[in-house]
Amino acid sequence: MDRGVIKLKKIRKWFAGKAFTYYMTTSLMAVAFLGTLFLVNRAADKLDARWDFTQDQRYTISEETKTYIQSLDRDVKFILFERHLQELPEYLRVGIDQYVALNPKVSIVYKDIDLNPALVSQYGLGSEGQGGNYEYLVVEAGSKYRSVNLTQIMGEFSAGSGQLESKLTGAISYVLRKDEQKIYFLEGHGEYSDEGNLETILQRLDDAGFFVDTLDISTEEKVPEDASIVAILGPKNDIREEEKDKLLAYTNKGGNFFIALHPDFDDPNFRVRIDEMPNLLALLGTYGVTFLDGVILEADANYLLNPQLPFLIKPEVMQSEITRSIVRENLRFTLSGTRGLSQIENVEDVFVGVVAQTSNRATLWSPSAEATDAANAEPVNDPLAVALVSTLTLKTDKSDESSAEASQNEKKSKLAIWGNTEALASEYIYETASYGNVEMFIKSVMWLSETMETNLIAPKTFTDEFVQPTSKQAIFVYLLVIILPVLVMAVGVIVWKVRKRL
Amino acid sequence: MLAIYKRELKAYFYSPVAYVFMGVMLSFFGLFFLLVNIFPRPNYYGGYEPAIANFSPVLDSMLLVLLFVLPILVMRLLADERKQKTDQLLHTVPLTTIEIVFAKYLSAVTIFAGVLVISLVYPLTVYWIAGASLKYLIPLYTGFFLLGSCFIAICLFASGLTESQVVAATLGFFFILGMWLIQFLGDMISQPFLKELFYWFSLLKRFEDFRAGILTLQPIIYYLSVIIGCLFLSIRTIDKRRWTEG
Repeated sequence: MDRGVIKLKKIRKWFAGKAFTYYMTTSLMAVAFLGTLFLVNRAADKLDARWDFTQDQRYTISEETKTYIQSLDRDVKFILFERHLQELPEYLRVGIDQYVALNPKVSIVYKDIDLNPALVSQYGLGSEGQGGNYEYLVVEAGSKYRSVNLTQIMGEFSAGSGQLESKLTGAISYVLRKDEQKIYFLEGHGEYSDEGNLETILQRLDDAGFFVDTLDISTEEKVPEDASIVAILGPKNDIREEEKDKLLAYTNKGGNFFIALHPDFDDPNFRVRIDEMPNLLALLGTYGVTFLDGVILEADANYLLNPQLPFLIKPEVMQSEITRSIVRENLRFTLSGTRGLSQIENVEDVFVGVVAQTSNRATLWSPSAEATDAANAEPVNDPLAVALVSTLTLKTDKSDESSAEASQNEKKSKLAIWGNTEALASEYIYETASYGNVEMFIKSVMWLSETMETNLIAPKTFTDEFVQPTSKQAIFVYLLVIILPVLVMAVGVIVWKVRKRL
Repeated sequence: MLAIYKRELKAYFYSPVAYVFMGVMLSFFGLFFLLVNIFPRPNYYGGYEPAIANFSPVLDSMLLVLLFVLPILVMRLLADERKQKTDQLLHTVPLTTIEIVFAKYLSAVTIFAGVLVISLVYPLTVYWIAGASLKYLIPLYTGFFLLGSCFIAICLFASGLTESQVVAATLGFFFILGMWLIQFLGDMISQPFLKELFYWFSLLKRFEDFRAGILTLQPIIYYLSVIIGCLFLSIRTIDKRRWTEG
């Protein structure tokens, strides 16, 4: 009992003593101080102070988008579907807020995705079958809407990928556009059909508001009426006679084609099968275009992506409506293992334009010959076209029209053709950083469908320049890397020895 | 305070520590610089393509080097004073604990900053060869400097907890490793609130904006807060010892 009383007295004494006062004061001060720091940081989280030092302002909305949004004269509503307690990354929220701040016609409402199942169903959200763990922004104008999957575009870095602006501006363009655009991919002739590897261009088509479908023309009476474009990607076999007729009928109605070819590398004899595709050649002939036998080998290093690989070319992109943004932003457009293209002379009512071409030192190499090295290659002495466009003016039957009326009622059918299909594959695009390929494709499609006025912003890409030191520069670099640390350590050794002696 | 600062700098430069630290850092800078910005890398076709002009991956790799070298740089700052009993002398000078701790901290940060300044020769070499833009280096080096300064403050606090330099270095190493663990836990956890919590406290997560080329105010304030917080704890540790050992 006495011991207990003594202990209690000691405890009471301690609590009343200086030590306890000190510890209490110190602890409270520490908590207050650290708590203040915490609160300062929470307050700082509300600040929107950021400076984009990237070369192409990749995390800032472009002036093009700003101008477009400010010019909108119709109401556009954003419906942001978020998950409870899970806020969007700040850069996405800031990006979306920039749109809303630019024009009072753009408004935003917030919905909890878990508490609004009816709305989620109405807009068809979560239909990707990924367990519904995504967040969405629905862009709506009148009765048209388009959903943007925000979770999918969150990039590796907290500052995010460059896709938000591309998708959001594309969605706004789509909901404000009056007509629908549909592109059919032809199949049944060994076309390139790896959908997973075409994901990049399919995604861009989706961003631009195009609907996509496949078309087996052999089983159809004609090309569907809603086809804005028929795309033929890398056919290994020729189209049949009756298929050609159906496609020509589509041409005569003002239909449009995007065609990409490639040398048949799958063939064990490595033949290039131009002479085995008379029907396809006939279709192209209608547009005043043909393709050449052989694979292009480039000899000019300025036109090569890699000097060791003469078939991996970086052609000159000619200035045109299609290539304006590619030239302006110096996007990389490359092709690997490409056929040459050529204009057929004296084809009436046709205008052919070159979109991209090689240097005049490029050669055509035909693997059908016995020799397999570049010595076999035929010198051409003129630049070879690797991408062409053609506009066919269709004759009308209304002979009673005046020339002015006839001109106004003129129908046109367009063709965009590339000498290579692999350039559209996602794997190729990312491995070679050829983001210009995607831009070239989508702009070609927009030109074909006459939707160039659609405001479509290319996702900002993270292309880094290559470092290719000369031999002198390489020597300097190796010396620098070795000498710098050695010099520092040598100074240290000297100083240490001198100090030791003292 | 200036006297303490100069004294610490002299102590660093009159011993092998600063030179070994700088030599090791520059060696790794050079190694990563070669691997990222100079040596060709395998390409899509099984051949090789040139290296890229982006210096961010180099500093990313250097973060791991900091984990090992910064504790060694900072370990002696407070621990050695205690072991040599010179901390008693320090308490007799007309300086507050704040000034003493800050001067020591500043000396370590100066060595670290010196290495960063010298390392600029590598991205400048990239600019000389490839002509790439250098603007992104501003947020990149700012973030790296602040992050390194945070690590130094953490190691300084660890140094104040013990009189053994080895223990101080080990503690500093594990404290910094804890930062990686916070990031790792944030990546692994799926519960949104906890994920957000770990990411909020993670020093490495906040480096991502700097790495991407964006200078944002929130991470700068956070890093400065961590530095101030760790220095405060170091000061409290010293004061407590001063008070109890009298």
